[in-house]
Amino acid sequence: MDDYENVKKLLDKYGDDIYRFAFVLTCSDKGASALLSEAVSVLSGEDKFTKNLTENRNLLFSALVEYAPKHAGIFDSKQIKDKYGEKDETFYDLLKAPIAEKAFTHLTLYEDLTEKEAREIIKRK
Amino acid sequence: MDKIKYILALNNIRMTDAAKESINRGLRTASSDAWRRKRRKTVTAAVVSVLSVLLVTALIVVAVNSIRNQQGKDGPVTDAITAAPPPTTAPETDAPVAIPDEEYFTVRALYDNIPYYDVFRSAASCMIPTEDESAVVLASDLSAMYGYFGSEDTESICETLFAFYERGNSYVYYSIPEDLDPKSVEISEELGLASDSCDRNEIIVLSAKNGTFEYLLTFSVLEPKNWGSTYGSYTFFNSAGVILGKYSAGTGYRILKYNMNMIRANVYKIRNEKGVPVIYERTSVRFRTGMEENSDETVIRADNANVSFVKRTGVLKKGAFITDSHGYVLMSATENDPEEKIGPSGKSFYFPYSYPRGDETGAVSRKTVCDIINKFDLQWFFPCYVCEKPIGTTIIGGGIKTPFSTEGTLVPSYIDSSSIRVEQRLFVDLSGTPLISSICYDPSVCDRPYFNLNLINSGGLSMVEIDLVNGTMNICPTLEDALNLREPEALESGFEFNYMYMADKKGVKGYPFSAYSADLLPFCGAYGHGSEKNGLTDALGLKTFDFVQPISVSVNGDEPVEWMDTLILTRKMHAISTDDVTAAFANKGDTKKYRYVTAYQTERSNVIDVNGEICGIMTGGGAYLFDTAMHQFTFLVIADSDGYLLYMGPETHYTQENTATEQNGYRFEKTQSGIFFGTLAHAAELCSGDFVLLSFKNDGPETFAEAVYMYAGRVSYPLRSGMKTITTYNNGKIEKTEWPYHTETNLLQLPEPSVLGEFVFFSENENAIIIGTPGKKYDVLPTAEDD
Repeated sequence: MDDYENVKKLLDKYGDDIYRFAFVLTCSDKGASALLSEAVSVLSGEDKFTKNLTENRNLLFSALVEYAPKHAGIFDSKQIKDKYGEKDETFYDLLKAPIAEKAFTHLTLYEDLTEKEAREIIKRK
Repeated sequence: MDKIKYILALNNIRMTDAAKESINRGLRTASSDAWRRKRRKTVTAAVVSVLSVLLVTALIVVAVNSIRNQQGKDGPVTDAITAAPPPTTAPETDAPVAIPDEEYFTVRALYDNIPYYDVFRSAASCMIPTEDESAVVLASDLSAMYGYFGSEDTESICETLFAFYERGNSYVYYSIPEDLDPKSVEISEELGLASDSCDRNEIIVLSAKNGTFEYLLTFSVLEPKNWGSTYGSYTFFNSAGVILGKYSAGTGYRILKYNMNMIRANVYKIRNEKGVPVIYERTSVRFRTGMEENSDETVIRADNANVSFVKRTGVLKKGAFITDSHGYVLMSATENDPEEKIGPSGKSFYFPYSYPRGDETGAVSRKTVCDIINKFDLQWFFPCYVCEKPIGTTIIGGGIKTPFSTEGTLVPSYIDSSSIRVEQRLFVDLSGTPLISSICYDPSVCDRPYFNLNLINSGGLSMVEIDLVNGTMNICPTLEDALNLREPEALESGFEFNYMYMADKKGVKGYPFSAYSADLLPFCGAYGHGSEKNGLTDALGLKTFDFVQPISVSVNGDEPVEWMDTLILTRKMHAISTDDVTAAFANKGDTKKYRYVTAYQTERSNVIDVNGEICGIMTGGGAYLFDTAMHQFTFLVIADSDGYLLYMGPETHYTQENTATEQNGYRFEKTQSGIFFGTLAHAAELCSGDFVLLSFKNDGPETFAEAVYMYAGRVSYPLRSGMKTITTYNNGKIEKTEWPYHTETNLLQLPEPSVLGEFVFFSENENAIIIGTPGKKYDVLPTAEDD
């Protein structure tokens, strides 16, 4: 199985979840797209993807954290509200936080990872 | 944070189609060249195909023999090598090159997906120069350029892309002519084997600039046509069908070390002429082992990670490329000296193919520009407008006369501190439509697109109107006249004409030209906004604030321009290394982080030092300096304890030793050029809109202020008349008062000395730099050094 199939399977199963993570890290759809593109491209180029979906997901999470600074935009609550509607204020507060902090919160809250697992994913950064 | 609320907040955020497409692109086209490949058509000339088959057969034998020889010298090679298929049967997907990483030499392709270099690669791939200074171009390959040039006129494309076309007795062939035989076999090999499965690609691995010429080191390889199905990973070959290595998106080209001597490499000399890469020369280069010591060769070193200059030169006179790990040296076959064929006679060099962008009324051929320059003894000419009249054409543009010394010899142009870059100038017509024109020049006297003070003094800038029908020409007598030109004098009635003036007049008004004219500095229009926040501050992990305004600096003759701050703010700054120092300020009760940063700035593919001079080039591996010892790169960055950026500037104006030990405030080193405004502003904690006096003069018993500036963020502006808020800084206390200021006299009486307090930060000769409230008299106060 090649990278394309591996990535396709990964995104078929976790696509929206991965995208949400990228969105939280970059604060924008544009940034999330670019971040995902770079992360997938690099991992693919380095032949990092395997057949294990969970492993691939965590690998991608790490890469997203690593490359997020290049794609992170300025938090714009109005833009997000206009597109996605009103959110809880704590959500906006989180978006303002540093990338590592956002990643940790998201991975533990949304992905239900343990703190240790989350740290292991973020530690590469 | 509440988990449920968080999940709900994300609920309607889903992957967009654009994101899916972006990921697909990332998978398939990272570091690829989609534009070129999509348009390149198959080379199917029958003669080439026949020759190719024959050649392939022969080269397989050669390759196998070569590999056998390599086995004897370098140990065993893998099956993948010995089984390397010829290009005509090249695998469509990744070949099983199961070789350890340490056996690869990795290079990254430069300038991928940049249209300008895409055009170059396409042109280079279908052209080779011959010994008689002609060029062979396969028309079938060239047709791939039709889409780009919007024309199917092969001759026109050749004229634009290949300088050979303009040379007197040279030709561009559109196919391999029979009378070139017996070279035709070699030619077909050089062009790469025509194949249904492979394309030739010129990988740019290194670049260097000399004047307006750029030199590109390329590796010529064959890659599978259907690379798109390989998901960014495939094997590539040389033109003989020998596997050279493996390409992987994200990693780049990994070349088998023991096949490096099979790489076909070239050094191209090109020049950007109106956005088109015109190929002037090509030199074949090859690897060799060993290298003579004390050689004056230009050495370009390559190791497994990078390729870099180790000896300064902008010119590949003798290209030599060595690899540390494997002992190969790449040598140019012939000397590649751009000056070699450029003589002072004015007849044997070539001028840019030029036409005004945004103007569809006509085009100026390279030959026409050449004629204009030669006929009127111009050094530079920049066509601004072309008018097609019922009979003939009128070209209007700026011309600079070739300077002559009093002895009648040519005055060389050179880059010095009084030179500024004017490679491209913006002109506007009266309707406000921007019209961009590049300067065309005579490389025998100036191969660099710089206005030079000597040149201006001796030659003068003039507006030139050329009427191609009767050869009339009008030249305005002075630079100022040219800039103020409102209406060309020799226009004929009966046709519509938009005249133009130089829009960046401000940039040259401060004659003589400042070395750091602000309008030529790279600005960061919206620093800190959007996704473009990738500058030095990010690299340092600092937060930025107060940089929200577009940066713009007024150039005002001899007034000190705080160009460094402007430079610092550009997102093109790159940090190389940092060294943190923490110091406490007793009077502030605050701790600040000091960070010495070695950094450089880039503009296009050049590396620029703090003096604004080009001192290196950018490649995919980073910045490569021609000579690191000659340039200033160290800056001081100060952040507060929260990481907010407070100051970035030249460290020589803000020393760690003084700032760390001074108990009563800041001290500054003297400089010949005066204090830097950013430093001063930071020390006084100025706010936007504050009012600063930078110097004063004595007039009899009284002292008056000169050079009054308003501080706006990190930029100063000359003041307009009116009431101004003046900030005072006295023993750490900031006060603000209002005071009238009149630009008519540009003078402001200063306050009584007793009012001033400890406002003097710097004193040198008769110039004091102060921040203070206005008053009537002023006595020079002791300087900080005299404390």
